[in-house]
Amino acid sequence: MNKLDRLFVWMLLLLGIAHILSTFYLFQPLAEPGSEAAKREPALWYFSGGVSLCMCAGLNSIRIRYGRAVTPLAWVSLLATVIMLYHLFLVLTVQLLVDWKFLLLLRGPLVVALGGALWANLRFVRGAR
Amino acid sequence: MLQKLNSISAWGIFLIGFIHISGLFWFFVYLVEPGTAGVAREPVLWWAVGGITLWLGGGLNLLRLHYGQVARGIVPITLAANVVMVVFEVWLEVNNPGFLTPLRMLLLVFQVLATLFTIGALRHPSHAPA
Repeated sequence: MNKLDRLFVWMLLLLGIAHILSTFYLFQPLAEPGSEAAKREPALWYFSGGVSLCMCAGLNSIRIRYGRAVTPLAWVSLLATVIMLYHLFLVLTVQLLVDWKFLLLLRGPLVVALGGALWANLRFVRGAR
Repeated sequence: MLQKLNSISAWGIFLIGFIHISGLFWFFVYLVEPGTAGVAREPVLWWAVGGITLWLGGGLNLLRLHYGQVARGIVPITLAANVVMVVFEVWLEVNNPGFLTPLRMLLLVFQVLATLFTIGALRHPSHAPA
């Protein structure tokens, strides 16, 4: 069980890094010439999506290591995973029926990683109580 | 005093996350860009994830403050998160100097402070607040 839990953490971390790197492929140029304010920054905010996945992986690894001794860590990890999963659900909703190939190829593994992490978090929290 | 500043910087990062997310209703006309595909369809959602990143970064710093002494592994992970956040914030401000708001400057100050406090907690574990 612990191995599976760690597997989901590694998946989250690696997908976060892949997400960060994909910024440089999906956004050319990184800043749209002539754009201003928030319109000039979509590539950077996409990049921050990968950072948040890595942070979520970090919180989950903290939970695995210290969650039994310090229960609030497990609850924070669960909350972070739920928020990331809800964001992914919104992204999937926006892309649904528009670009399913894009959806399956890029977001399919994320559904597995975040769904698995949620399952692991819920098991952990139930076990800790 | 230093402990209070440590707490203020962590809470500051966390709370600015809320302000950042609420900014999407101000800066974006459409929640989904019409007539677009791929990532071009999702700028609002990626703007929002910027706020989530601040929640997670601020949250990690708050966990470091409260449990950093009992769960030492929190400190290096928080340091990595803080360094990435500072580099990202500098990149953001260099990329868009015309959009350098006071809130962004304040956020950078909080993030630099949080990074320094995390380095301090890593070097002197016994001085870290429990």
